[in-house]
Amino acid sequence: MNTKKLLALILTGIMLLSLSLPMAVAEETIKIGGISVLTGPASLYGIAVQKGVDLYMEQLNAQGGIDGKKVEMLWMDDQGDPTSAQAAYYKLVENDGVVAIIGAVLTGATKAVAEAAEADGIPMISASATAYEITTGRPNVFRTCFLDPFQAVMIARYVKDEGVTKAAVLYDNGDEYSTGLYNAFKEECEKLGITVTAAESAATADVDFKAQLTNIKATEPEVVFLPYYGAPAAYILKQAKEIGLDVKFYGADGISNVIDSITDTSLLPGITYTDHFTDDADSEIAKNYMKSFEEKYGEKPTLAFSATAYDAALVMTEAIKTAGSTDFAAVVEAIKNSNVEGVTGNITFDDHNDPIKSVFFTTFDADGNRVFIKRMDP
Amino acid sequence: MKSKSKSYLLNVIFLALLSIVIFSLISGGVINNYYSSILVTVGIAIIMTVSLNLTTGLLGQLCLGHAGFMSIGAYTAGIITKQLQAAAPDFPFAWSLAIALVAAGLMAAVFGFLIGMPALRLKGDYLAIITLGFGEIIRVIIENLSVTGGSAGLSRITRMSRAFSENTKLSSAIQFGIVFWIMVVVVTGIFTLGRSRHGRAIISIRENEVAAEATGIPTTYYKLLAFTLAAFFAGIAGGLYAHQIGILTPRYFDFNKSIEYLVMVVLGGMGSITGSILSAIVLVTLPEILREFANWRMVIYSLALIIIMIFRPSGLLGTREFSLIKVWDSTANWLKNTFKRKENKPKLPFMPHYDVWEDSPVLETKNLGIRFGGLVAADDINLCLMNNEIVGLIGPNGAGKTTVFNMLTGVYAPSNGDIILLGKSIAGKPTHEITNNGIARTFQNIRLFKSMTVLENIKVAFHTRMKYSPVSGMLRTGQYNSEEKGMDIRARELLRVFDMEEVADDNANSLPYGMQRKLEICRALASNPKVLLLDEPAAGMNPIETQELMNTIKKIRTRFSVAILLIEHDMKLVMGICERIYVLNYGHIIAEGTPKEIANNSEVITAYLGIPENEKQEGHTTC
Amino acid sequence: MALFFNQLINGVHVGSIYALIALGYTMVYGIVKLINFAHGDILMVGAYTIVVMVNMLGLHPVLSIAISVLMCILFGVVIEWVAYRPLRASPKISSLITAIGVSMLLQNVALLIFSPTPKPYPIQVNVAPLQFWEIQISFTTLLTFVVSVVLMVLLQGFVISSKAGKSMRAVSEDTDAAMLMGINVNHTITMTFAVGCALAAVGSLLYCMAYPAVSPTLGSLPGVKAFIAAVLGGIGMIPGAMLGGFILGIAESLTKGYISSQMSDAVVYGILIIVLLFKPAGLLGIGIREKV
Repeated sequence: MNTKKLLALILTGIMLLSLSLPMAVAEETIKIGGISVLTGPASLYGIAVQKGVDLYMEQLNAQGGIDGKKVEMLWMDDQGDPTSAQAAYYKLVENDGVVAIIGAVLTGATKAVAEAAEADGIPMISASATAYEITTGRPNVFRTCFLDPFQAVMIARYVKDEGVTKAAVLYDNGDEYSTGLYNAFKEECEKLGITVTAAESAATADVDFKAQLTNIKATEPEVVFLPYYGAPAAYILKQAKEIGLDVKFYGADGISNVIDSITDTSLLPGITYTDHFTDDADSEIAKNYMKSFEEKYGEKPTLAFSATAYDAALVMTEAIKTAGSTDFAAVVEAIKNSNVEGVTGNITFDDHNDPIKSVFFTTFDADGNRVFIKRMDP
Repeated sequence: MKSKSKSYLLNVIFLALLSIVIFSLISGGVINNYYSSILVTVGIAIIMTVSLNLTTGLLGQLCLGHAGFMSIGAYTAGIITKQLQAAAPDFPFAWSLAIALVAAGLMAAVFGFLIGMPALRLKGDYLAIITLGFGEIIRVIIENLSVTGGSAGLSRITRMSRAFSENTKLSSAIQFGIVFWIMVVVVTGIFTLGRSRHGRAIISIRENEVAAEATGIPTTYYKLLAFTLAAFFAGIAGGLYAHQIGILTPRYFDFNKSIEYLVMVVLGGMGSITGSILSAIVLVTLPEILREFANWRMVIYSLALIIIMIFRPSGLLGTREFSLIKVWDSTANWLKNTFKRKENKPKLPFMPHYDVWEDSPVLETKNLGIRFGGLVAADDINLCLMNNEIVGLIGPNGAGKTTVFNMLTGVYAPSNGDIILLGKSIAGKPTHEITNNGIARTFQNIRLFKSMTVLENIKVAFHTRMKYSPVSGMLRTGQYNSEEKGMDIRARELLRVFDMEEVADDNANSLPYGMQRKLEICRALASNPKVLLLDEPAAGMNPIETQELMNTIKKIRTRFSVAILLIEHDMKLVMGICERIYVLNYGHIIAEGTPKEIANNSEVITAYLGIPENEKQEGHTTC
Repeated sequence: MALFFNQLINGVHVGSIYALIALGYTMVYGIVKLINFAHGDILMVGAYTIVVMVNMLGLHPVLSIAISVLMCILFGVVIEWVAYRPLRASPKISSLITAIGVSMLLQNVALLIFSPTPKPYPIQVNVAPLQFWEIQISFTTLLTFVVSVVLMVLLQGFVISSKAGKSMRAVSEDTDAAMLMGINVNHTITMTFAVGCALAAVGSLLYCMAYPAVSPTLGSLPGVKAFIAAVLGGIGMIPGAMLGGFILGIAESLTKGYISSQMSDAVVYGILIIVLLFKPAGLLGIGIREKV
C-alpha cells in the first residue's frame, strides 16, 4: 500500500517539479509569439497556420532577419480553449517578452487573446479568425484572412451571376463561423432577389444530415450553400447523393480540405468554394511559396490558412522593419499602413483592420485536384 | 483551550498574510499577469470542484452537468454587467460585479432547484445521465438564445484584471483578492456545513438513504439543498470566470468541462474538501507545466489519470482531510472566542411531548393491508400497542412481518386500512415525518451510516430535534454552537447507557456485529420515539449476546418509556420478554395473546412452529 | 407523406447504428456495472485498423474487416485487463474516471499517430438506392438495419441459451454467487468485453460506411448517443438497447425534419429525461426496489 502511495506521490511530484524547468535563454533576437491550436481535433487548422508562419520566418532568417536580428518564433498551444489561449498570451508577453503576437487560430481563443492584447496595445495578427467583431474597436488587432460576411456576400453574387434564383442553406448552428456566413448569405440573397427556399441547421459534431437534406430536397432549390468545414461537408455531399439531392453545392474557405475526408471523389466537382489563395496563382511570391512549402514539409499545403499565415508573418515583420523598432504603437501604425505583396495578393487594411483582397472561386476535378475558376474583387 | 485559540489565530493570520503577500507581489509586478491569471483560474476551479464535491462527494450522487450551472452563472453575470455598463456608465464596476455575482449564483441555484426536483428521484448512473442531459440542454438553449449571443457568445465583458484601476497590476491584484476570498468563503462554508447537522444529514443519505429517512432525515429536502447550493456556488464561479476571461462561448461549457471538474473531485478524493483543493491546483497547473510537451501533454495527462486511479482508487486523499486545513474549522471558532466572550450555553435536543393515556393504545392499526400488483402481502392487520408494552410479532419467513413494519414506518404506503399513532392517522405519510411523530425502527440487515463515527450516527438522529439553519451551520453562529454542544452531551449520555462511550469516535463499520446492532437501537432511540420497532434484533447473535440483548430491551422500556414492537425468530427471546404476541401467517394475523397462550395455540403450532414449543426451546438452549 | 417516410428511413438508419453500439455498452454495463466511456473509442480503433490495412498495406477489405474485429477485441480485452480489473472492488466512480482516462488516452494517441486530419474510409458500397415512388432506401441503410437486427437476435440467443451466455447472466445477476457456483468470473467478464468490442467493430464498419471520414474523435458522438440509447431502453437489456437505439434515431430524425434541427439534441435529451422520470430503469428495464 505504501509503495502505491509513494508512486502516486512521485507521479504528482514529477509533474510539479517540471514547473521549475529553466526557461530557454535567448540571444539577441526579436521574439514573436505564436498562439495556435496545435493539439486536439482542431489542430489541423493550427498546424497549417504554424507551418505557414514558420516557413516565412525561416526564409526571413536565412536572408538575415530584421536589420541583422534573427526572428524567434515562440509557439504556444492553446488546445482551442479560450482560457488556455489567454494564459498562453500572458506567458508569451510577460514571461518571454515577445513583441508581437500571431494568432490565435480558432474564433473563441482569438477573442480571448484579443481581449488581453487590446489592453496591452501589442500588435497582433490572426491568420484565420474570420468573425467580424474580433478587430472591432481594437486598433492593434489585425487579420490576414477575410471576413465571414465578405465571403458570403461574394458567394451570393457569384451564384446570382450563374442565374440561380432558388438557394437553400445548411449550416452549423453551434458554430459562429457557420452562422455568420449563413446570416450574411441570407441577407445578400434577399438584396439580390434570390429566394432562400430552406435554411436548415445542425448541431456541432453532427454527422447525419439526411433529415435536413431531405427537407431541403423537398423545397427544390437550384443550389445549396454549405458554410461548413471539410469533414462534415464530406458527409453532406455523400448523404445528399444517397437521398438523391442532385444540385450544385457552394462553400466558403473552411470547406477547402473536404478532399481529405471524402472517399468518393466523383462528388467533388459538385462543389464550388471561395478561397484566400489558389495553388495556380501566378505571382512570383506565390510560386515561391508553393515550391518552398513542398520542399520544407514534403507535401502541398492542405489549407489556405498556411498562405494567410505566411502573409501574417510577412506583414508583421515588414511592419517591424518599417517601424525601425519594436515599439508597440509604431509597429501597429506600420501594419495599419501596410501595402505589401503577399502570397494571397496585395495586402492593405481597411478602417476595421481587415485586409482588402480578392476571393478565388475554386472547385475540384473528379480526381480531387483543385481547379481555379475565377477571381472576384470586392 | 488557550493554546488552541492561539493556533486558530495563527491560522487566520496565515491566510490573511498569504493573501496580502500574493496581493502585493502581484501589484508590485513580481507575480506577472501570466501567473496571476493561473492563480485566478485555480481559484475558480477550486470553487467548482469543492461545490461539485458537495453533490458528488458528500451527497454521493454522480453529477455530470456541473458546467451547465457554471455557464448559467457566467452568462447571467456577463449580461448584467454589460447591461449596467450600457445603462449607467458611471456606476462603479465593483458594485455591478457584486450584483452580477449574487445574481449569477441565484440564477444557477434556481436552475439547480428546478432540475433537481425531478432528477433527484433517480439514483446512481441514471441520475448521472439525467444531469448530463440537462447540462447539454442548457448549452443548446444558450446556443439558440439571442440574449446570450447565440453561438458567437458574449464578448467584451469587463475584465476584472483591468476594471478596478488604471494600474493593471493593481487591478490584477484586486482580481486575485476577490477570487481568493470568495474561494475561502465558499470552501469554509461547505466545510462547516459538512460538519453541521445539515452536513451529517447529507452524508447520511450517501451512507444509507433508507436508514437516513427512517432516522428522521427529510432526504428529498437535503438532496435538493445540496444540489441547489452546489449550483449556487458553481454559478458564482461562472460569474467570476466571465469577468476573468471577458468572452463567453456556449461550447466552452460542454460535457467535457463537466467531466474535467468531476475528474478533479474524484482524483482529490470524494468527500474530501482539501483533496478537491489539492487536485484542482494540480490539474490546472499540470497542463501549463506540460505546455512544453505539446503533443504529449494530453497523453501524459490521461496516463497519469489512469495510473493514479489504479493505485489510489479513492483519490489522492480519500475522504480524509489534509491536516493543515484545521484552518477552516478553527477560523470560526477563533472569531467566536474573540468577538463573543460569553460561552454558549448548551441547548439540549428538543424532547417531544407525547400525550399518552394509560387506557388507550399508542399505536393501533385498523384493517391494514397492502397489495403488490396482484399479490396480497398483508391483509386486515389489526395491531394494538399500549404504552410501555413489549409486544412480539412472529411468524414464518415470508409471513409479511417486515412488510407490516414498512407500512408502519411509511416505507410502503398501505393499500387500505389506517395507522393511528397517539390518536392521529399517519398512514401514507413520508417516513421521516412518521419518525418525527414518534416511531423509530431498526432494520433486519443492519443499516448504519458506516463511514461515520458512532457519535455522528447518533447525532444524525437528533437532526429533527434541532433547529439551527444551514446558514447558521455555515457561519457557526451561537445557535449552532449551543445546539451542537447540547447534541454532543445527549449523544454521549445515550452511548453511556449502552456502555458504548469508549467507541464514540470509532467508525461505525469497525464495530463488532453485536455492537452494530446495539448502535442501531441506540440511534433509533436518539430521535426520542414513543414507539420502537425492532426488526430481528437478535439475528446472528450467540446465546450470551441474546441474553444481554433481552436485558437491554427491558432496560430501554423502563428508561426511555417506549412501547416496543419486535420481530424475532428466537423464541427464547420472544417468550422471555414479550407481554403479548401477534402471530402472522400469509399476511394475516392468525393468533394473538400472552406467550403462554401462543405457545399452546394449536393453530400456531401447526401453521408456524411445526414442533411443540417446549422441544424447540430445549433445542435452543442446548446448542 | 413521402417526406415523412424518408425521414423515418433516415431515422432507422441512424438508429440501427446506435442500437448496434448500444448492444456493446449494455452488455458491459450489465456485467460490470461500468459506464465504459472508452467503448466509443473502440469504434475509432476499428476504423483506423481498416484504414491502415486497406490504404497502407493494401489488404483485401474482407480480410481487413476480420483483422479490425480482432483488433477491437484485443483492445477491449487489454483495456479491461489493465485498467478496469484492478478497480473492480473500488467505488464505481473510480472505474468511471479510469474509463474516461482510457478514452482520452486512446484519442490522444490516435492524434499523435494519425494526425487530426480525417482520413477517408476505404470501404464503400456503391449500389444504387432502391426507389419506391418518392421513397428512397439506400443500400447502406438496408444493410445496416439488417445487420444490426440479425446481430441483436443472435446475441440474445447466445446470452439466453449458450453456456457462456448463461454464465454471463449469472455473473451479472450476482458475481459472488456465480463464483461460488464455479463460474470463472474473470473469463466471463473478459468474454463479455470481447463480444461487446466485436460488436463495436461491426458498428464501426457500418458507421464509417455511412460517415466515411475517420478521425481520432470519431467515437465520441456515437459513443454518447449509443449510451443514451442503452439507458433509454433499459441498460443491461439486449432488446432494450435495440429499442432505445431505434427510438433515438427516429426521434432525432423527425425532430430535425419537423420541429427544429437546432433543438434536436435538446429534444433527444428531453425524451430521455421524461422516460427516466416515469420509467426509472428505462423502457424495458425492470426497476428493482431496494429491499428494506
